[in-house]
Order: sequence, then structure tokens, then C-alpha cells
Amino acid sequence: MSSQLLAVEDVYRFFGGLTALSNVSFVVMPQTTLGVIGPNGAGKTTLFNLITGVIPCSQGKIFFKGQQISSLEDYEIARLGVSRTFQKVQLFHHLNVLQNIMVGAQIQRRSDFLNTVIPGKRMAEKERILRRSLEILKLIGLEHKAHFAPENLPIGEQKLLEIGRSLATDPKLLLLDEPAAGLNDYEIEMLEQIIFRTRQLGITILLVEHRMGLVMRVSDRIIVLNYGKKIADGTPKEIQQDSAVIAAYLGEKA
Amino acid sequence: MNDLRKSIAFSSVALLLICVIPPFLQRINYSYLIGILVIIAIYGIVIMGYDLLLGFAGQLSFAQIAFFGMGAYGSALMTSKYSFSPVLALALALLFSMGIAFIVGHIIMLRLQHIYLAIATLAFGEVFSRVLTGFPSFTGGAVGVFLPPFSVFGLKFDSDIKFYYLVCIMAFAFFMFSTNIVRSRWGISLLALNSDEQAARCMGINTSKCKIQVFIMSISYASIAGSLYAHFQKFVVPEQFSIVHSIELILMLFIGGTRTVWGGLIGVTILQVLPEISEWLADYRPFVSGALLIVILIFMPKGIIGTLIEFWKDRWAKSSGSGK
Amino acid sequence: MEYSTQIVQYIISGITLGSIYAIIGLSFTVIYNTTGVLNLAQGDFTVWGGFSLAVLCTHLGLPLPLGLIVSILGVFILGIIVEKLVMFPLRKADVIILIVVTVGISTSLQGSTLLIFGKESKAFPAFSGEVPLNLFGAFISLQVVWILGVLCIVTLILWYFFNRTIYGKAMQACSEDRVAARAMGINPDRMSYLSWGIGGALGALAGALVIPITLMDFNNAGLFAIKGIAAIVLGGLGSYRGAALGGFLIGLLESMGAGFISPLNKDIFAMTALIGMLLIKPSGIFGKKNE
Repeated sequence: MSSQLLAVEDVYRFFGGLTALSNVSFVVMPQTTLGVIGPNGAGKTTLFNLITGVIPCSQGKIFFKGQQISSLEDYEIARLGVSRTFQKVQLFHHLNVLQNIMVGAQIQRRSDFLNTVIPGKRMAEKERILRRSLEILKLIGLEHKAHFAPENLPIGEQKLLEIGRSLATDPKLLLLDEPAAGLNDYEIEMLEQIIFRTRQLGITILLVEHRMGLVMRVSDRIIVLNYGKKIADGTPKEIQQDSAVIAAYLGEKA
Repeated sequence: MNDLRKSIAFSSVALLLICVIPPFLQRINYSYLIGILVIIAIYGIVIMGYDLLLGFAGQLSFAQIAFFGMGAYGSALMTSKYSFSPVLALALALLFSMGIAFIVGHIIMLRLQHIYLAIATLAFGEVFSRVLTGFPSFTGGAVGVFLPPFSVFGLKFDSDIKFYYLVCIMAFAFFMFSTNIVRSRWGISLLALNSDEQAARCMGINTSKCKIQVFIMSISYASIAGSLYAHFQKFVVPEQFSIVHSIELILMLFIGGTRTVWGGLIGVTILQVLPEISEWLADYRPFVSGALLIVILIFMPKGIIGTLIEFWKDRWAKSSGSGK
Repeated sequence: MEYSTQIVQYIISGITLGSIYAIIGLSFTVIYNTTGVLNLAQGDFTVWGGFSLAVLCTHLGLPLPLGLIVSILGVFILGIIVEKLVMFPLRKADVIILIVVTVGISTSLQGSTLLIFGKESKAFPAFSGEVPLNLFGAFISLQVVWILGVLCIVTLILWYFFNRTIYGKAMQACSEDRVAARAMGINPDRMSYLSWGIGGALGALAGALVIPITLMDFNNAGLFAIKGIAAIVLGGLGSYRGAALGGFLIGLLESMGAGFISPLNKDIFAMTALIGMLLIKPSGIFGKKNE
């Protein structure tokens, strides 16, 4: 039980009269990738919002590294090591590419207040942040566009930047919300490479995606949501053969 | 260390300019301009603080002028009615302002956004104006309050020139402080919060705390400037801190350029100097300033200074071949 | 005066003021609903309306009905001009820029009022003479009847326009989703400038109605705007009935406050109500809680 990185227990989310999620439970083991799929409106982004603390659970609990996070604020959860990207790219348009990553790199852990006050440590901290940001910049292949404004990047690079920003926070769990949406095949290849690299770094990934090929290749396990309920939970192979899943998608293909 | 050298060079030039201007003006018989420079420096401090809140953090508050007034009236009342020393009065007025800002910040800023925040701060400013006029026994009402001259540990600042040096040094100090802070972690967090608050929170930034912090910091500039203003003018009246001036601040900030730290100073200069050099234009002033703001927002949204800085950056980037 | 007559008097003046604020509130709402912008210059349209009427009829000798039509039409066109010159170029800008530019518009309009109409306050006689009616012992000016009557008509017209006509429904659609509206064949840009025209016209109407009962100064623009804003915040941003109800509430509050508590600080009641509402339920009485 305690080796689970993320545990979602009997989670419900109501919006007025609408039930967005009901009785959703699953676990994620460390250093694995969990795919989350389902038809549009199934509640996938809502699930992400619950895990990252953007909205509260109506019922149920969420545990991260054994600690209950369902009652924590979103920024507190981020500081514990949970980071995410958004369905519609949400970059900081008042900052350039490098600075976007720096926001991630400068995330506060525990209380490093001392690091910000003692002059010697401050310089060291600044250098660490810059160094890490440049590393990430290189990882996502944008080192030549460090001073660009994010909106001047093509959408594929914007998505990579968003992932880079999250990686800079040194997360244990990374939630990717439809990273492949709107990308062409070449950009999806780049994305896959980054995802594999992220897995190599030992980061656990939660991936919401519609591109079935990508999900099946990248995930260790997959859960399927439909109308707010979990209808399947298994390996990619099992999911592909699950009749309930096929019915839900009415024969949708990748 | 290149940065440090640049800072020292810049500071030396700035300080030199500050010292040299008054004797120069006296030489060419334009000493009365020194008084105008004092006003520009004082408003400049207010604007620099305002830029932190509105330009960097993106919080649309119309309350800056009210805190300018709090500093002014705080100093006025404490030095005239209770004979506090001016420096002590300034400090106490500042503490009072910060306290009010703390309360207002929690009640208004954390709960309201965009247009609602603007409306609430507008209403707050109006209420403050009414309080100034509505309690004559305490605040002197519409007639105002007179102040003794400003003095620091016995050193009296009773002439335009002395005040000039005082406020210019202070404005310079505030400028250096602002410049440093916007490049810090905290400064970058403000810009992140401004761009996309939810994303900033998901990156671990406690945006509520940031909002309160930047609010208190920005009004501190205004409060201190207000105290200095009160002593320079030697009296305060409610009319000096009304909504009209709140709108003027916005004009100055956007015309000069948000997020440039010193751009507002140009806005201040334009709006302060215009009426001086053209008395006959006085009637045209509201129309011209409003129209100027509109034109700038449409064609040069970064303001005059902001656009110039962008232009420079572009040229520098192109000439060093790094492209953009 | 007897106590009960006092109360009646205050209620009547409350309703009168309230109607004016309701019309101003409605003018805010039309523009807000179509474009999402809260036009802080709305009070200036009101002043323009009042001043135009005064100048046209008193100085230029136009008969009242003609003066009314010309003033309101004039500000209708002014609203359209402002939208096309200022708001249209900025349609993609940040929320903050949009709010700040309306501040610029307000300042310019006030400045132009100064230049065109001069500095003096303006007065205007009541529409149907000075003899007041006697109602339950209280005296009401006939102007009140005019104001209330106009408000009812305006509300009916607006309701009909937005719920029954193509143009009105199109404008509603634009506020929901501009792109979808465009796909339906609606031209959101046209809806935008029309909404500004209507907003301006309504503001001017309020000004024309109110100038007989108050001395109008070009400084009043700010107060009209704040009262109108108080009305729509109370009633709920975006709701027409909210604007009307909010207007009445603000008017009554102000009248009662001025009468029973303090005539000198009468503006403070509207503002306190505004702040109070923002703290309790910013979305107002009829507002939906979004975000």
C-alpha cells in the first residue's frame, strides 16, 4: 500500500446537478505511466483538476506518497512534487521561454527561506535555477529560442515548453493533459521522445490522451473513464480487448 | 560582475545628473522648475509603486491615490496636531497605511478579480475621499491641514532645493529597489501570476500571498511619497487625493509604459509639465490626456518608454546576430 | 412635515432617482452583455445627454421633443464612433487594457464636454412645467411621472428587443461566443458598435430625464457612473432585471439615507451598498456564480 505513489479512493465530483465523476478509484505505482482515456466529457480533465488541487473533491480521498492531499491547496500540492500541463496551453505570456522554465525551476520546496536570505546562498540558488532551466531548455530542444515570447512558438514547441516548465519543478508525478492535441506527426514524435526521456528520469506519468497509438505505446497501464465512471483498468493489451471499452468508443480507432 | 559594473556606472551618472541640475537651472534663471522637479520625483515614486501592482502583478487597483493621501494626511495630522517629529509621523503613517492595506488586501484583493477588483478599489478610494471631507473636526474637512516643515534629526528641509535633493535621492533609492526586485524570484512570480494565475499556482506559487505582498509594497511607495508631498506643499486638502488624481495616475503609468519601472516617470513628466508650459491649454488638458492614453494603448501598448526599450532590444539582438 | 409624508416623499424621490440609476445600469448592461466590457465612460454619455438637451433647447431654441430626439440620436452616434475608433482596434487586448481604455474614453469625453459645452453647470426646466402633483400629502414633480413612464417603456422595449427580435438575440449570442455567433452568420463587430450606440443612447436618455431635477455639472459623470455600477453590481452584472432592480434599490437607499441620516454625504450610501455587495455576493442578486 505505501509503495503506491498516487492513490485515488472513491472520488466523486458534482457540479450543481451534474455528476462529473463518480466512485473513481485507482492507484499508480512509482516510475510507471498510467494512461487515462475515454470519450469527450468523460471527466478526464476534471480528474486532473482534483488531483492537482485546482478544485476540491465532493467526496473521496486522494493520497500522494501516502499523504492525503485532497484537502491541500493547488500550490501546496505542486510543492510536494505533482506537476501538470493543461489541455489548452497555459504559458506565461509576460515572460520569455527561458523565464517560463525558471518559474518551474524556482519552485519552493520545504522551507528554503534561508536560501533566499543569506547572500552567499542566494547567489548559489540563482545559479542553480539558471543552470537547471538551461538543462531543461536543452532537453526540450529550445535552447536557441530562449528569449522568444511563448506565443511566437509553433504550437508543438509551446507544448514542449509547458512540459519543460513542469519538469523544471523536479516532480515525482507529472500529469499531461492531452499533450498531443493539435500536433502533427513529426511533433508527436518529438513529444514521445520527451515522454520516454521523462520516464527514464524516473518520473511517474499520468497521461490523458485521445491519440490511441501514443497512449498504447507509452503506458504501462490504462484506465478508461466514461460518463464519470471508471469502466476499465488494465494493461494496454487488456484494454484493447475490453468489450466495455470498445462499446464506449463505438469502434473509435487511433 | 558585468551587471554590477553597469549598475555602478548607471548610478554614478544618475546621481551626477541629480546634483548638477539645480545649479544649472539657477544659472539660466529657471529655478522655479526645481519645484516642478520635486513634484515629478514624488509622483514618480508613487508611480513606481503602482507599476509593481498594476504592471507587474496585473492587479487593477484604483486605490493607490488613497494611500498617497493616507501618508499625506497621516503626516499632516501627526505633525500639526500632535507635534510628532516629521520622520516619526512618516513612519507611523506608513505603518497605518500598511495595516489598512493588509485588511483591504485580504477582504478585497483575494476575493475579487478584474472588473470587480477595479470597482471595489474605486469605491474604496471614493470612500476615503468622503472620509477626508466628512469629518472636519478630525481631518480639517475641505479646508485641509497645514504642516510644519520637514526635518530629519534637526536638519530642516524648508526650501525647494533642499527638498529636491531629498526626494531625488529617495526616488533613486526606490528605483534601485524596484529594479532589483522585479528581477528576483519574487518579481518573476508576479509576472507569472499576471500571465496566468492558475498555471502559476500549479507551479507552486502562492498567488494569494504574492498579491498581498505586492499590494503592501506598492502602497508603501505611495504612503512615503504622500508624507513627503504633504511637507513640501505645507498643506493638505482632500481634493488632492480624489478619484480624478487616481485616473491621472493610470494615465501617467500607461502613457509612460507599464512594466518598465521608470517609464511612469515619463508619463508623470508629460502630464505635469504640459499644463505648466501651456497655461492657455489648461482647458484642453483632460481631452488631450484622455486622447493620448487612447492613442498610446492602441498604437503603443507598451507605452512610450516600453516601446522604445523594445525597439532598442530588437536592434541590439539583430546586430549581435542572435535573431528573434 | 408629518413623518408619514416624509417617508412618502423619500420613497418617491427614491424611486425617481432609482429610475435614473436603473436606466444608467441598463446602459452599462447592454454594452457588457454584448462585448464583455464594462464601459466606465457611461456617466459621460449621461452628461452629454443632459447637456445636449439643455443647449439645444435653451440656447438653440429647439422644441422639447425635437431636442430629445436629437440629443439621444447624437449620443447614439457618438457611442458608435467611440466603439469603432477605440474599442474595435483593441478587441483582442487584455482585460486590464480594456478597462483602462474606457478610463481614457471617459477622460476624453469629459474633456470634450468642457470644450464644447463650457464649464458652467446647466439647468433645464421640467418637461411639463413646475406645478407638482399632490400624492398622499407629498408633492411630486411631474418630472417623476415622466421618468417612471420612460423607464417602463424603455424596459419593455429592451426586453422585446433582446428576446424577440433577431438583432437583439444576435447581440446576446455574441456575448456568449463570438466565434460561434460568426458561424451563425452574425457579424459580432456590427453587434459591438450597435451595443455601444444603444448604451450611449440609454445613458443620454437618463441624462436628459434627470437634468430638470438636478443641476448638471461635467463633474457629475463620475458619480453617475458609480451609481450605475452600484446598481448593476447589486442586481448582478449582466442581468437586465438586475440592473433595474439594483437601480431602484440604490435610489431608495440614497433617498432614505439622505433624508434620515445625512443629506451632505448622500453619495456614500450608494458606495457602501456597492462595497457591501461586493463583499457578500459579488455576482449580485440575479447574477450567476461563475469562476
